[in-house]
Amino acid sequence: MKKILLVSTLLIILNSALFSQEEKQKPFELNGYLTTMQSAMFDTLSGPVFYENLLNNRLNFKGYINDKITLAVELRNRLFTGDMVRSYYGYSDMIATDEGWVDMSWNIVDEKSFFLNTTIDRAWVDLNLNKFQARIGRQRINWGQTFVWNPNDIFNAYSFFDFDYIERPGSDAVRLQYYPSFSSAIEIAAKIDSEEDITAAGLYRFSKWGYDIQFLAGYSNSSDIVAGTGWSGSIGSISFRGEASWFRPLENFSDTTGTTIITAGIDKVFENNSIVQFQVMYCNNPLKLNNFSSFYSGNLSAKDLAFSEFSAFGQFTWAATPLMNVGVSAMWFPDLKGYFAGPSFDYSLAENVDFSLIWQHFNAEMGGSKTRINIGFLRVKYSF
Amino acid sequence: MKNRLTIIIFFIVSGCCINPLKAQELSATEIIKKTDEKFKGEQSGYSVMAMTIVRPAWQRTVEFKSWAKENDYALTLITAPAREKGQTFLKRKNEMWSWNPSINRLIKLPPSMMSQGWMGSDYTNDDILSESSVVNDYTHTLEGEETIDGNPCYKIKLTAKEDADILWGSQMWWVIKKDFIAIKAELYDEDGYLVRSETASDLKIMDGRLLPSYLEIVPADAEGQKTIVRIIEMKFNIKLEESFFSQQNMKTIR
Repeated sequence: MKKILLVSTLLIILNSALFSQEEKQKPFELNGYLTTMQSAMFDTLSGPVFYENLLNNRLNFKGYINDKITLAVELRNRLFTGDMVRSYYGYSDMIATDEGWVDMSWNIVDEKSFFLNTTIDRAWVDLNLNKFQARIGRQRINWGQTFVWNPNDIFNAYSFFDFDYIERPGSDAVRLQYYPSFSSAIEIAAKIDSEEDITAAGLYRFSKWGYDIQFLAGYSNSSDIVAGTGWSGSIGSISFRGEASWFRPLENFSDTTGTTIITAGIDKVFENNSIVQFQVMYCNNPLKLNNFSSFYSGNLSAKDLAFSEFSAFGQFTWAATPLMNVGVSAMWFPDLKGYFAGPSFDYSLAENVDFSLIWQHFNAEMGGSKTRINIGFLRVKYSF
Repeated sequence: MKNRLTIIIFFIVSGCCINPLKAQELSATEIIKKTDEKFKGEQSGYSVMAMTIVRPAWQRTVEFKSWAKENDYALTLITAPAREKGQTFLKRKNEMWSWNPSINRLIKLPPSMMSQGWMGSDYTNDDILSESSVVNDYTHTLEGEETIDGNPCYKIKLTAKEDADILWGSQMWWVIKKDFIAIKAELYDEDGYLVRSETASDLKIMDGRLLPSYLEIVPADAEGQKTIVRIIEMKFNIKLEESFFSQQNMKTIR
């Protein structure tokens, strides 16, 4: 009898302890990371080398007002030091340029040998009501389906090479989403940038025949009509993803044929924990490149993704041990007689500390001359 | 992509439960059947777990919350480590998606990924997707009774049937007599060599049921190597509609 009493009392205590634990959801969350990254850039080993160090602190703040309303502010504090700061006039101003409608990038300290920049790249309020979701403010609208080039990502295309900024800049936008079913969505979004150019588009995404399929249409950068489609699915055990977009200037609509970008890729995960990816891209109207910096970071919009009629990409990554990842990727741009190649090595030093060694080698003909650039990066990242 | 371990582990450990049974004289097969049933047949469940991979020089832990309905629907949220926190995985029948909040991107995962083991843990693919049944693919003999951690247990040998296409040649199970919980198992290959030991301990009442909250998987041939699963919270037969397992919920669940 005593035993039964004891057990049932225990049960009650345990149950109430569990319930109270569950009720105790924090009303706000703060997380982020701190990285230090050393880079060295050079043409040939015998030539000059530019060294740079970037100390980067990202803070992600989320507040849960109630079940339906969420607030978020995310920012990055970056301290730049090194040869680029000293020798490249206007570097700090370039870093402080905010492409958004509201300027939320500031150089807190700007000296000859170093500068400290703070940029708010997310600041939104989100309302989630039944099958409806509205988000207003600076946010990332990511419509991509493939991994390297994303012609469907019309609000915010990005450069594959900028591996140290996976979050990407936000857009100052209003985004409305409606979820007709568990795996489909209807979206309408509009953004305005620092030039007061407007991008507004709608997207319908659904799941059919084991594929995610999407269609989009809208108006891009206050100049082009855009229409596109994208998909993700698989052929057997191989993933098959792709995107296609078509841009045509609204002015002189009948005079031009527009820009068509089509990309498709496959990826496969193997039993030994390696991943192989391939992607190809076609563009009827590739961007003419004159210098390396527009190639590397550029003001990338989805329309300006391609520098060559055809481009190809391949990547192999292998989790050699649970702590270690090794990889190599390559890109080929026939029209530039050029290529990119880059090995990478990642190692988990501790539960929340990661070490990376990344190499980027570019070789291409731009503006009639041969350009060759090497950049090596060494990064230590602490996540919290 | 490392995160697929969470799904795999989720499928292994989810739905642990107990049917209250009266002590009675049972055959070895009946004991195994009753023990096996504890891992099956739940309509829906919620669990909070931590999995630690222990190697001689290091260890890493992943923590997650999971919601599941039948075998067809699951939603998993990673809560640690910091680098992967907030990522979610949705499974609906044979389709799977992941959501990464830092890049705001939904990614459809290939079906092959669901069948992958995770190299870091000591589970094998067979554990996860195996259709083999401890009840039907083995013959069972009662080898006696032993006391493990103070619990009187049946000691039962499972011998693989000749025609069964299974990884193990035989298994030895220790099943607590009064609760039908397997708290120790030794898995042998076809030549009779020990490959792996599994232990379950720290029995706790979770959502009204007595369950082991600490599982340890130790490979026989690797010194200082093991995988630990801690069950922090479990709930059974909670009300979860099919519509709960949605892409919209992937982005908001916490």
